[in-house]
Amino acid sequence: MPDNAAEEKGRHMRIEELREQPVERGDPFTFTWEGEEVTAYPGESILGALVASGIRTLRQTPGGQPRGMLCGIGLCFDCLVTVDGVPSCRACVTPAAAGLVVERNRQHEWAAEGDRS
Amino acid sequence: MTDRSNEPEVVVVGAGPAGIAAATMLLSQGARVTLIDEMPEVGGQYYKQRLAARGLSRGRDLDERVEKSQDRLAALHGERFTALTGTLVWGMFAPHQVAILRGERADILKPHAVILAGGAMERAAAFPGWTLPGVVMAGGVQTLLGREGILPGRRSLVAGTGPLLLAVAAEIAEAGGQVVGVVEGSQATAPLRHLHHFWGQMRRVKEAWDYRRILDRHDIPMYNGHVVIAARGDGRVEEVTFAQVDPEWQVLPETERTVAVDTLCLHFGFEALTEIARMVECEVAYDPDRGGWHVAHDDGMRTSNAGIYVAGQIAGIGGADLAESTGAMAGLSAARDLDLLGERAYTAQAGPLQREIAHRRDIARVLNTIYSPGAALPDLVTPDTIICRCEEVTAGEIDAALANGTVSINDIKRRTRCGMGMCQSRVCSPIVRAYVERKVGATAEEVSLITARPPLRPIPLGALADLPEEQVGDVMTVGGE
Repeated sequence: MPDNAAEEKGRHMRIEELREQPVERGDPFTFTWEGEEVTAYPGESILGALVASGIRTLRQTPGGQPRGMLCGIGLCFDCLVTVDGVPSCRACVTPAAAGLVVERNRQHEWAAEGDRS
Repeated sequence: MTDRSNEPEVVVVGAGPAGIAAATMLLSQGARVTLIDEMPEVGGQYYKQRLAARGLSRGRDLDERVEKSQDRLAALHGERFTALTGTLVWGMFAPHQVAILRGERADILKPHAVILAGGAMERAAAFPGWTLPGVVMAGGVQTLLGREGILPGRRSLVAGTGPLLLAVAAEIAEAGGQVVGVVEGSQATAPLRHLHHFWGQMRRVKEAWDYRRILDRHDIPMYNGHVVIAARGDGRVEEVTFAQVDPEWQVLPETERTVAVDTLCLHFGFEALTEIARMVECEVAYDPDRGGWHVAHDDGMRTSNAGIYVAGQIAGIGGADLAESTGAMAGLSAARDLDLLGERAYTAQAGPLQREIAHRRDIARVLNTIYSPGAALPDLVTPDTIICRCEEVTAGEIDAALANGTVSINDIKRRTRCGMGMCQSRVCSPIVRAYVERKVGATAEEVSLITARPPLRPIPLGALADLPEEQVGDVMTVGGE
């Protein structure tokens, strides 16, 4: 099962921001994704802030496939992340907020794997 | 505060153009209205993104729509109006009770009538590589861009079918993203054959024309009669291959092109979200002119169940203008059935609305005909292509179920777990249905739809603590499936 976390992190450092310019956005704040600080602006979803930072892979399926954004409107449940310890939050409909601890959805992966065994 | 408990109450599910129009009509007729939407603000996918993006005016034709939506929202106020935003509708129970979840708390609303205006979801297509991060839905990209001013990636290809492709490509380009092409499955000449239907609809024609000019200005090539056939990359999309197709969308040999991109925006039309209506056994119908399965209804938008009405895309794919007309019509019929207005007043208002609906349906029918995925689209799938993303069911596993002689999607679900995951089959079921129709030559009616059961979205079990036992029983049965 390949883990793309390290690779993603490298890309994350290099990529220029994908936020449209010039746009009034308010004061930026940060939350963490897998322990790394990510910048976000008021009105952004967790998904938006991650995408803008070049982060594409949000989780691995039980079968080991990387997954990220798909529908973007809360219907497909592909962009599931763990937010402050709560598993399986949809990144696209969860607002970004200062100090959030956002991680890969590991608990969901374990639960799903356990379910299959 | 005035006691309004004797005034009839109508719940409107979905706060997009259809729901807003329905609520406005009901308020004007004297009903109490509760407008529910899962998103934190009223507006739906069509208005919401533009409302939130007000600060980021780009001088496009979007500004006009923002103004229009503000007019619409201005009508929604007063003591008789309640907006329950950030509220999930997770089920319906007979005859027309609406199960909601607000925060951690579940509740059952028992209004006098319900208008279902929950809209539609974009259709994806399965092909090798479609589950890679970076393969996203085009409408979702439009929402991200409109709501948050965030681009999906640096280099995008937009692929599928429908007028939305042009809009999304133009919006990405105008926002500073690179678009390497628009891959449209429909043949270039298809719209011309239907041009006469757009008589009197110059705004629609002009809109398409404006988008084409934006594409030209950014040197974005348009590949008509082409379909994306594969996405590849190490853990994320790095390149996409597309090819020319015949009118059935059969890939023509030696026409493949491969482009380097980090984003592939897909859109293969819309699928009406009929589950909520099917949960209380409202009749559905299949009609390609309506974009496929939709909730059946009469001229007044009444479903087969008394007290339940439909408006917008759930009653057939047709865009925002049609959604508004059908919303107003549904609101008017509900008001009539609740005796808020007499038969004569009803007829006087219903006539013009019904003519408007008929005209707008005509346009929708043409668009649904031109921009309908070709029958050969499922041929892109290989046996190891994942079809159900949630449960990771491959086409090969579905083939095995078909080899057992079944064509019913509910049978396939039982045999393969396809459609049993978190998305409740919303993503995979249109793909499976098209795949089965193609593979074994079954009709849409034979394949049918996955049976709808509560909850429509995963909800915390603790939230059910206050609900009546028989309803909790229904939900638990599903949870234990």
